[in-house]
Amino acid sequence: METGEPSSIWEQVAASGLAVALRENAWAYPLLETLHILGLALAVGGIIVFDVRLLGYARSIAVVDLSRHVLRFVLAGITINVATGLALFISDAAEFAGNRSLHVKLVLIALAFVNAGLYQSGPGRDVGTWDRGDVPPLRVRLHAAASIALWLGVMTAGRMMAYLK
Amino acid sequence: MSLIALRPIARAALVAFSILAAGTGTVFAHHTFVTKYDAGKLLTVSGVIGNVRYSNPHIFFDITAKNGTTWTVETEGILVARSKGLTEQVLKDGATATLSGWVSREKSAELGLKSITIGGRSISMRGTAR
Repeated sequence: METGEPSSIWEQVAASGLAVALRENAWAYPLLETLHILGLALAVGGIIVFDVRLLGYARSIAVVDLSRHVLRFVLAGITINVATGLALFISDAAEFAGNRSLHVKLVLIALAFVNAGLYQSGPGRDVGTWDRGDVPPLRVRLHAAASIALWLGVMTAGRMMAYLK
Repeated sequence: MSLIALRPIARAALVAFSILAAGTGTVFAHHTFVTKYDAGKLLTVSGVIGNVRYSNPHIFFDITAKNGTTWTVETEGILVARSKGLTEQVLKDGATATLSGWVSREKSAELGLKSITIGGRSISMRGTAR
């Protein structure tokens, strides 16, 4: 650290007892990474399965039935990954705060949530009129395609954090 | 599920990946996809170890040569380092060592550790530059 220069908020976070414990314990980091992959599998896996249905495939399964089944796994995955992602970030906050792949990832997550919100508050409100047998409206399919692209982008940007900083 | 039924899904996935590739390609257009350390530039340094950060996902430490040059050295994570014998007891501030590593393409004074002789033993950490 530079002499006399006040350390940034991220350097202070990285110097905290929790951060030191997370990176200096032999098993904490690999365990967090493993759980982060589990969360990814549940969240992105569930999202893609649901979005493919919204694109118009497997129309014998009602959208409402599928969402009831799949979205709880998605929520569980997102919960796990917010928690493990924060812990991984804290462990080396000064390094990760400047990581451009993480910036891209966070922007893509925000866009994915906005997209999901626009679907939920838009065509998702009258899902009952098209959720069985019909090809979903074009707007629904566009939301689904955008969702798949954005979440694959989130996943890719996350992996690129180790390579494109 | 039959192959025919999967085909439109594969097409949708391909479209999604294309959109994604176009997006990330724009963001990182000025970045070449290379490894951090230059496999063609292997350097040997002898000196004193300092500023050991025995941490995950990678361990970092400094080595200061007799001529005063200090290199920051990156190596594997805690579990790998321990299993190869580069333990916290061996890799500590003030220890003397001779090491060879690949020079960073990004930072001028950073090495990716290949092998190290320290505490009376030679340890090969990595066969290829990362």
